[in-house]
Amino acid sequence: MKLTIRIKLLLGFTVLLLLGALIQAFTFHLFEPLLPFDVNFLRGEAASLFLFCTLGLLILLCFIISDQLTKPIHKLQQSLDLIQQGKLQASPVIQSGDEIEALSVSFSSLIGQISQREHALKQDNQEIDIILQSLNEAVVALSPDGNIILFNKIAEQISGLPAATSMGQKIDAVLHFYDDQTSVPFATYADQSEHMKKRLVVRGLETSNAEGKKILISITVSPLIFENMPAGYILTFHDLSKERELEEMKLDFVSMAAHELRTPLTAIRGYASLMELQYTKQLDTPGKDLMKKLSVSVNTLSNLVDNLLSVSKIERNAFIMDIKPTDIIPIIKTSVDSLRQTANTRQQHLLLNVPAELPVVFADEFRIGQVILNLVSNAISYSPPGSTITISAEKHEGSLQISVQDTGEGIPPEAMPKLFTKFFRVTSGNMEEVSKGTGLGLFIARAIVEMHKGKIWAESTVGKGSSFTFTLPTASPQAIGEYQQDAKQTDLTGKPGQSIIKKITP
Amino acid sequence: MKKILIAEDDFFIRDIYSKIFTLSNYEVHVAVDGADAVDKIKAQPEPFDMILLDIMMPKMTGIEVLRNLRSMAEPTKNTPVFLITNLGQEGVIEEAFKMGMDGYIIKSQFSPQQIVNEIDTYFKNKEAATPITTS
Repeated sequence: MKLTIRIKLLLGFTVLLLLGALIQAFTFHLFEPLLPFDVNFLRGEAASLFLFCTLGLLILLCFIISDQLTKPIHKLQQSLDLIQQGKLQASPVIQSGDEIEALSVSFSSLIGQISQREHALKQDNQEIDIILQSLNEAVVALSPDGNIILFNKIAEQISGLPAATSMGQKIDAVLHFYDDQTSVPFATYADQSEHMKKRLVVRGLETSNAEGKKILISITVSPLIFENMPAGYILTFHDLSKERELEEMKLDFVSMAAHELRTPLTAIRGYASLMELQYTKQLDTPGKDLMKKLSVSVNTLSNLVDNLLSVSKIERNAFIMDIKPTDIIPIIKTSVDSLRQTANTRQQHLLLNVPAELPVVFADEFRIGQVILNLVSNAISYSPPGSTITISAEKHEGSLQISVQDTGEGIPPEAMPKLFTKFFRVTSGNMEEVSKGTGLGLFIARAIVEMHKGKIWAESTVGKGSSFTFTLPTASPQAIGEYQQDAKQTDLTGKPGQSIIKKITP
Repeated sequence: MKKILIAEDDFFIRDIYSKIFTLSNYEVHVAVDGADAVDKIKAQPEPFDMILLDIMMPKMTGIEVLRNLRSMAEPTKNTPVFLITNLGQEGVIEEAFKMGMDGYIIKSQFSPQQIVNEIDTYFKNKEAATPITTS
């Protein structure tokens, strides 16, 4: 049984009463003989009556006092119960004028503060929610074990799944990521980002939406750390389909423009060369000079258009290569020979430093020829008249290394990282007489070399010259055997064997 | 004098090719599209010595003209054919080889003189290989 205030008071008063009666009996006994009057009237029935009356009075008193005490306390308790249920009404102040009133005042001000804070918290939450929902990025928050605790509107839009059913589910049950057709569980990315201790960005993934359609996305995974403990992940992703569409439109435009340019350009080149062929003899020296400049410019423009087409093909992964076992030596020789005349006009020497025999590589003759042509003609353009350009090839472990070295003015160090990017040109260089570069040659060269699984790089010292080197992996006898086997089979299936058409490199 | 048919829809390219081949002592005939090329081939009593076909032509593509030609009667069906292409038409070239194309020329990579040289070389090689039939 609980000892409520009322019972405590009751017990207290009873003890007091008994004690009083005991003291009364004792004092009577002690002082009776000394008293000058008879006290007998205080004994007997009258005395018991008195005692009962007092007892009754005390019980009444106990009820009144305990009531006074417990009523405000009950009220406080009711308010507390309401708060526990989440109803934060300001509790009325109890006007009892005592400590309980003081208690109730501080109690209600405490409740006021709590409700204010809760309000502020709600507002903050709302603001965060509005921000999260209005982001143009899908945001999904995850608990450390991969359960979804937040799923914003864009996430709903991209995935086609409502937040209501996604919340609380495991991420892998809701969103599926595909890297190159293979499904990748979220944990792979989570582990990676945790390992790096920073956010991880993966582009070009795919996810399937509610209708099973694949959507191109990029994702960002950031591990959440709260007080040094992993607290889950924030996963954001956005739809790349629009970007890809725009990118494709841009590439289409470049490719279409280049195609359209090519026909009139071929005509201009054709007429220029017809004119050179038929009428050069009739021209005087300045006329011949004009004729020469015309064809140089037309060739530059024609190269630019071809390069633009190559770039648009590289960027849309439509660059076709005809890779077969190839002896690189004749390719080097043909490419270098075709530039001898240009070099001669600048009194430059092209020095070939190539062994008599080199291992076979898997290569597209024409494209690798393009790379060598590009490197050598760059060297010619950027080297002073009278200098020597060395073209060397040597065998390394598992690869061939081809390099073109000049003694030109070199490349400034700040230009080095940008050498192989699109439309980059080192601005200096005496390039008046030879055709100017398009700024695409090295970009294409790198793409071609990398498609051969090779590497390309540059080294340069300002004032001393530059060297450009690329590698091509050598073909193993086994791989060559397999290739020949395949080729034989295709021949048997009806491809004419005598397709020996010579391609003239420009 | 060799008789050559040049089928090319672009006026200027056609003009350049006919001029350069005329300069190099060829008897030049021209066609402005694929259908025209087929008509010209059929109208010739003696087959051409060489047909140059642009790949992209209105009415009939070069490939279709080639297919049509190879289904004609002897000896017209055996007329040598070179396709005039642009860079990046490797797929078409493969197909054309299967249909019996004799060679191809990449427009932007060859000057007109180089094209004539290619055709000259083709005839020279052919005559060297079969001296009896060419006399």
